[in-house]
Amino acid sequence: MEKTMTKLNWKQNELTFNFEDRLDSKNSLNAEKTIDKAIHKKSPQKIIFDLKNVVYVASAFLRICISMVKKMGKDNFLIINAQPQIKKIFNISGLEDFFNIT
Amino acid sequence: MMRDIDHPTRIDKNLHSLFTETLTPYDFILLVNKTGEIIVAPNIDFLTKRQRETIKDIIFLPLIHRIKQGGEPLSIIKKIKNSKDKLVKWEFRIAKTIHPDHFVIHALQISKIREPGKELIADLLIINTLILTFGLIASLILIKKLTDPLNTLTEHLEHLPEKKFKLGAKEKFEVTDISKGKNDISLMAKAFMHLTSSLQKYILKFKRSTSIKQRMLGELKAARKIQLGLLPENNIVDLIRDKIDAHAFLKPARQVGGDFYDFGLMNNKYFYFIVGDVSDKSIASAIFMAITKTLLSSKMKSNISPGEILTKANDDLLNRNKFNMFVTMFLGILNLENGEIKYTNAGHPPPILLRNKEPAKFLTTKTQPVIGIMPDVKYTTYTTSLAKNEVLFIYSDGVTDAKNKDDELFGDKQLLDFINKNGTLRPIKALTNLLLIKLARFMKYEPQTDDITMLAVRYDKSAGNDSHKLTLPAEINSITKFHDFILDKTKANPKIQKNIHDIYLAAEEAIINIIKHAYSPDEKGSITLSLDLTPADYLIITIEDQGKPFDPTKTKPLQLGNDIDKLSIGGIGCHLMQQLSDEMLYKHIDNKNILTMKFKIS
Repeated sequence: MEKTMTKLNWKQNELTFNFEDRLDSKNSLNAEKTIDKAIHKKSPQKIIFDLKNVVYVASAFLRICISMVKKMGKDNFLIINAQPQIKKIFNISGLEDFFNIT
Repeated sequence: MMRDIDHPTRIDKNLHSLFTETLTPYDFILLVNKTGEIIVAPNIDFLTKRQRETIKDIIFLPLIHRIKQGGEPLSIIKKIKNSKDKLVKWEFRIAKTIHPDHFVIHALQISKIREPGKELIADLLIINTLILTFGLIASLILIKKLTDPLNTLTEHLEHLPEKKFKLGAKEKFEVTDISKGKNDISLMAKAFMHLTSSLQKYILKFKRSTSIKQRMLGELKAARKIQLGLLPENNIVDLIRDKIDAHAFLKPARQVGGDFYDFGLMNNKYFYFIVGDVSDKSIASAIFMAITKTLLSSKMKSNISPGEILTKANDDLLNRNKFNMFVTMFLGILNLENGEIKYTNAGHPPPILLRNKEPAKFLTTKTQPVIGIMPDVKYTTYTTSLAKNEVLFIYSDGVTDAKNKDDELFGDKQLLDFINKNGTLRPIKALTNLLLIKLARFMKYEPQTDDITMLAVRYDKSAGNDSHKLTLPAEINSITKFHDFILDKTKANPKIQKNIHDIYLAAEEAIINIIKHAYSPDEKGSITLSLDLTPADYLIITIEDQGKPFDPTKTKPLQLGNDIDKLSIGGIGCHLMQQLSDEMLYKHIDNKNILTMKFKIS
């Protein structure tokens, strides 16, 4: 059982998370733990999810994003480098308007 | 009575009688003196005194004078009145004697002496002319009589070809008439009649044999059409398109050929295929082939092996085979569920097998005899199997024996190379078509002397069950296992791979739903995931659990509005399931939640 390694990157007050590969339900849970831990340590002004290496997301991850955007607000929560199939999932869910996705 | 005229000299007695003893009064001689006086004359009254006197002056004296002078002519012609007062022509000719004063005068009545001769000649001439003319006419008539039949015959002979060597009634009558005589022409006419009647007979015979030949050719063609009509349609295979792709083709040679093939379904579980080649190329062999086919069809049952079928067929054919015809045959029965092939080869060229990632090779078995010749042969059944995408190619010797203008054969090696290179063509009809083109190019303008038959089969089903099931505990760790399971069972299908993320996501949402909500925390519930890859264009995922009844199809569609606060966290999963699957069905049976999701694969 492999653990997905989520990388953190602080840039001043911006916290960027680099997620890996597949964010299925199980991995999303682990990712959530990582995120919560990081934010708890230090509160960022802006949170960025970098999905460059992510090929798959499940609804669990979507939920994480929703809680993020609720918490940070649309302008302070960015989702970047989303691959087309990931964007598609956001679209199907009808969530694309709620996020700043690129 | 002899009368002498007075003269001074005595004349020789003999000479005297020469003058006097004349028999004719129109051809005699006189002796005259130099004054023209007659000294000796014949004893006939030929002239009157007065006439004598006249003659003396007119004829004798001039003649005497002439002959003395040596002049010419020494004859005078004069017409003198005879006793009947008729003027008759006399010719008088003078001649000297020894005595200088004596002359001989020859008197000739021309009309009596010469002219009868002339008249006779004239008469003869006339007669001859008449005879000649008559003869000519007669012979002309005769000739005509001879040549007329000849001409008639010649004319009829000349016109014979245009009249198709048949004599009309009139001609027949004429020729028969001619032939009735006894001459050479009649013989000719007889021969002529005989000739035409013989010609007639031969022409009729020839016509009959030609029409028989034509009819036979026509029947050969019809027999061939019937033969070809007995071949099964390739679209029968469409019924089982998801399991196999098969195509057969027979290119007949010019004459009636001996190849045949057959294929079909048995119980929807088995696919049988046969390729055969009858020894001859005739109507008899076509009939033999039809009998063989019928025999085989009747014996084709799913519980009998190919070896047994051919053994029975061989025995049956032996009983009917008075012509020593034989058939080579390859018979195979493919189990559609698992790709297993049972087969028997009776003297037929070995088929070619193309396995995944292996070079093409011949499916050789121990040689078994052709069918229809040897009694009591027990044919052996051999077994092999096709994995998914593997191809079996069966053909007749018309393929390998195809010749080009240099008398080279297409050959086993070229065929093997061809299958090696092109065996993976899809659909498999492309393979058979390409081989036909290649053969046509190889043969060019050489005539095709044998039927060309090919039958190709590719197994398209993954061997074994195409339904897969996995049951795991309803806990988060099972997700990865389910994921690997789904991926593993679908990896062979490139069409599914295209959409695998979406398919898997839908499955995962269903699973996570169950994990979260179906069972109470202390329950150790399980989830069963089934994959059905059997249909050609759908993937069916069925997820079962024994927890609380829950129908994901009844979840209301997400209504998010604009208020992010109102964003409900739950329900996204079901929404995704609905969006990502093409069809979703739910039923609750036996305390089980059964959710079926169908995904279309193009």
